Amino acid sequence: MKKKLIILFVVAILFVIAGTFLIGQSKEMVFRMNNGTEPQTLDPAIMTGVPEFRIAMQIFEGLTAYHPETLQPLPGVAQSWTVSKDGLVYTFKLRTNAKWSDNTPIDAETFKYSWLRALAPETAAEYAYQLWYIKGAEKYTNGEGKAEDVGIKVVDKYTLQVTLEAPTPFFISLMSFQTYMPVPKHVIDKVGSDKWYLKDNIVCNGPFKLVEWYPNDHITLVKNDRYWDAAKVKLSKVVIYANEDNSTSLAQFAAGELEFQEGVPTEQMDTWKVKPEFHADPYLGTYYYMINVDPAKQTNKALLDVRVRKALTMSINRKYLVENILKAGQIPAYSFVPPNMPGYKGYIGFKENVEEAKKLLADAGYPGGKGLGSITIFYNTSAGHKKIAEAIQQMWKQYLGIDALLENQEWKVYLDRRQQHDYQVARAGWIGDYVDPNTFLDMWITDGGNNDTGWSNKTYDDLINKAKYEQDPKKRMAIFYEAEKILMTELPIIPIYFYVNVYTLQLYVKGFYGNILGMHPLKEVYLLKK
Amino acid sequence: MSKKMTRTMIDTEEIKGVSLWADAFRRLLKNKLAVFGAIIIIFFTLVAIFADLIAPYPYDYINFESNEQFAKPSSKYPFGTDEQGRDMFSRVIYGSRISLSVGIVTALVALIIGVTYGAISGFAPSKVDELMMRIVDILYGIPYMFFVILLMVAFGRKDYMLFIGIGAVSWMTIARITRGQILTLRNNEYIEAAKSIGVSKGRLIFRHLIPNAIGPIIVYLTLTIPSIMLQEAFLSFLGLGIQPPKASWGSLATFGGTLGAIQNYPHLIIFPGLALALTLFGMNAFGEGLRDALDPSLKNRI
Amino acid sequence: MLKFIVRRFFSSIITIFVIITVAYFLIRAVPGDPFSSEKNMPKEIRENLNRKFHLDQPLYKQYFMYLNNLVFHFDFGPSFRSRGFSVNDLIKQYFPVSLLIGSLAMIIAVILGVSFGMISALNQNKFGDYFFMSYAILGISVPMFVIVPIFLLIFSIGLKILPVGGWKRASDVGIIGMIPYLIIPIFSLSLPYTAYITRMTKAGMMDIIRKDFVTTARAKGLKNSTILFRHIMKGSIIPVVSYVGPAFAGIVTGSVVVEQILGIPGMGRVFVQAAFNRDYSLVMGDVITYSLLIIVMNFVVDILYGFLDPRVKYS
Repeated sequence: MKKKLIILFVVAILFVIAGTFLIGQSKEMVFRMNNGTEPQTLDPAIMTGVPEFRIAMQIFEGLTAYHPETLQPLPGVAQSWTVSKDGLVYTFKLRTNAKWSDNTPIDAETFKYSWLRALAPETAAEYAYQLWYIKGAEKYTNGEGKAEDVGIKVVDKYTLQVTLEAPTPFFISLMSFQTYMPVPKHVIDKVGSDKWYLKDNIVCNGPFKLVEWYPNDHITLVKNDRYWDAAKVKLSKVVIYANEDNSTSLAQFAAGELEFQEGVPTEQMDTWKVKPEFHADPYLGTYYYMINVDPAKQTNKALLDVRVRKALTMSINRKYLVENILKAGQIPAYSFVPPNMPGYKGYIGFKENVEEAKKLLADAGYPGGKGLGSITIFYNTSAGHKKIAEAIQQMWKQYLGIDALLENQEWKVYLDRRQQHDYQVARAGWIGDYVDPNTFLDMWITDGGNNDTGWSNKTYDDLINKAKYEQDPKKRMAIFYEAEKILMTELPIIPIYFYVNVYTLQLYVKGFYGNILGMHPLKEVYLLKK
Repeated sequence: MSKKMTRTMIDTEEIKGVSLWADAFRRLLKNKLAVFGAIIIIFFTLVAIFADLIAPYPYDYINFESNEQFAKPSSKYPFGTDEQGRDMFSRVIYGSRISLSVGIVTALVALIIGVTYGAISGFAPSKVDELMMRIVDILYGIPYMFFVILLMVAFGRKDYMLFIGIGAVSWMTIARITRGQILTLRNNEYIEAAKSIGVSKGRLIFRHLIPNAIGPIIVYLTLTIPSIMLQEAFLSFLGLGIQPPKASWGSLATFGGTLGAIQNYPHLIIFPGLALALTLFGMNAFGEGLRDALDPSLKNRI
Repeated sequence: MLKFIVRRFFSSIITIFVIITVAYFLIRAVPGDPFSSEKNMPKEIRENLNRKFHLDQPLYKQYFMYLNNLVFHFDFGPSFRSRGFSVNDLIKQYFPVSLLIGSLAMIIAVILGVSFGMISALNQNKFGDYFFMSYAILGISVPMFVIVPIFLLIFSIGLKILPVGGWKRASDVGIIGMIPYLIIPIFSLSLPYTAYITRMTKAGMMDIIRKDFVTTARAKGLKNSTILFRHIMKGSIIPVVSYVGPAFAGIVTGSVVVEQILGIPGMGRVFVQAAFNRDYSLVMGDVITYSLLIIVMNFVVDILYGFLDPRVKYS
């Protein structure tokens, strides 16, 4: 018995050694990254999240593609485009050599089909509204209009004309976005709308194509030889993992098992921050607390008083949070629109000042926090949100004498209660969809789909609407500035910090850039590995 | 159970009712592991009761002036500090309160549900009894995880939900034990005898049945408390534990137990982990000792 | 015997049916919905989605539709989160992973646990006994989420002889190539089970050693090893069998902690994810898999009893 056991152990150990040798033997240029979570879908029309888009941009290509560094639109399937003088009609010239990985050609019809499919009510695409800039699109999705009335016209085989509802200055930059990517009609017709992107059916038109998909494990992409610009693609293989544990993922990176992974847990920040593999890029996103200002739902009426809200805002020591808790180079936020928005400077409506905050609180009738009752900070369960909430709770307690409490809820319940305005103060975050202040400001209009604060301001609504039709970029930005001023004076939200995109990248990876959307096209990435 | 055995039990019960427990206690004292366990339990119970006196800082206090996040253990902070610069010593001390109360209160919740259910089932007519036991079988067939997660999510994350949530999935075994005990005892000769001389039903239950069933139940209880504390730690791992800034040993260990924390700041796992493991060890050792001491099948042979 | 099997079969069907029903309505009663996200969607789009997944129908209708698909097509329905995948597909992907890790862990736990328990029982109150009993208590006193990182720290980061978690398939690296990825999950997962089995084996053996028939056998002058294997082992294995049965159903449906920390695509991790994501159909699929396993394992245990303990009669 004992002998056999010993033999068993020896054999097992030998296997281990043999196994370790077998791994790490390959001469291809392989890029291995952890995407953090399992993609919900690879149908570009259906997808909404960043992890999904990260994969989609490697295997699909829209009319334009992101420049990996500047995010400016590069010619994709479209070779060139023109815009009419009134900014309403866009004409795209498509290249003739774009095709799917099964050699089926891509033309203007492909795009018309794909966009109409994304809009169609039966597709039930959550991001259909990303296409609502197109004339008649919203009505079609809502079942009030017909597909024929949507402003997408095939002029000839390789010319596509799009008519918009209103001039939309950022429309071209949307062409690289997931919802505007083409989908293969010939495959969808054959296997159905829900199965075409699975491993056995999928065809791709991007630099890479999908060959393996093990849910919650990994996805393997290989170079797509039929891609029109395949000559520039250097990686032969991309492996995308779906590991949610950041600590393990980082350890795998350190062991050389990954080329790229996102996030560094706080307890490792000091060790990693100084390494050349560490990156913290400015990100187009704001971390903020929102205050329920819906008089019918707010249970602590003191929060309906703007002076109280201002006092709370002013007594958060953002520098402390950023430097001692977050540590990755996040930027303290005193406005809602992030500072890296090109051509726009956010309105700064307040400064941190504990003395003044105390005075404001006293003016509102709550000197030293007396009579104000308790304020519960509501956040979704996560170590990151917990740290911030614990610190802010102590700040309000120590600086203002307010009895602050914490309540965390699991994600879906948190969303549910937020939407029903069932909270006092809640943590939230917003990541811009595109590079324009509009993506941060139009959400706060009265009853806006994402306005979970219940805040409503007529002047604000008018300004946002006016910006929609303003052609002159400078005037447009001025209107946004006016709007943000109102938002930052009424303070239904408390900006806390601007996100950074934290990731680690092996030094031998070249052609990989950081940018404010955290999007990394791998088309021209290569490895300088011996 | 043989006739001889039963008679011995009646003898013990009727003639020197106290000595059964005194006997068990004497045997328990001989078991070194169990005594060690008891000492640990008493120690941490005292810590929990006098947490306010022992802990140098409140558990949630953050000093915004000094930046002492992740400080190593020192004379100022014997257990070091956490990611907010809070004193880990104080947090572990206060953590004992939460961990122990979750363990004890939840076990009591499970006990109350289980004993009531098991007793009703044991006394009920056989049809009802069968149905009630089938329900328990079905509950065993539902993954425990599913139950707890749903309960925690559905009824909000108030701290008392931890007691109810874990308690609601831990009572089934107690119910089975209680029922089993009652069934064996109910058919016992001395109960028959007591009935025949006209002892009232209530007296029967409280004088005879419960005192006899209580041994195994207490044993099970002491072994349930550590398993509940472990479950609480597991819920903390999933993010469903106690509401911050309060912390249990489990939630402290969750944070300190990540790979990065173990590598860089081992004090974050060592202290809460040690407290948790020691207590669980103590309770398990004590519970097992208690079982050996109370187990009637061992009684006459050692 | 046959009568027993038939009866058990029908009662199992009722049990499963009740479990499905309870679980179905329970998960639907939980607040939150599968499609909510940080960015809210317009009402009309939401309605389109509801229609697509039949969430616009009354709950009882959805329930009957679900039952119908389940019973007549053995179809768990489409996943709410992993679009395009059916729950059947997903379980086919996840279950073998957990099954492999779980069964290997259980085998190791039984081998080690029974050996440790025997050594402990035969060396009562000697060093071996104290050592293994302390080990057995410790094994159930340290949370899994501490054990796994410690293993990683020692073998993957310190000694660098094992990979830092992750998972490889036999189709990619061969069976031998999988072994390094299996060692940490298997050994950490087997720890608490080893501890339980050690305790149980010891208790079972102690019970039997004191029984009259062993004393008689000894008195008759039977060899110690004969007594050990013919009488004591057989008798003391009964509690272990009754424990291993249901525990097996638990271990092969995956450990959340092990799978999550190591990034292993198994049932346990996915189950928790599915519950948090309100992926109703996947949660149901997991619950049903687990329940079926539990019922089957209990059944197997009952049959095994008959072989191990002649006193058991099927009735």
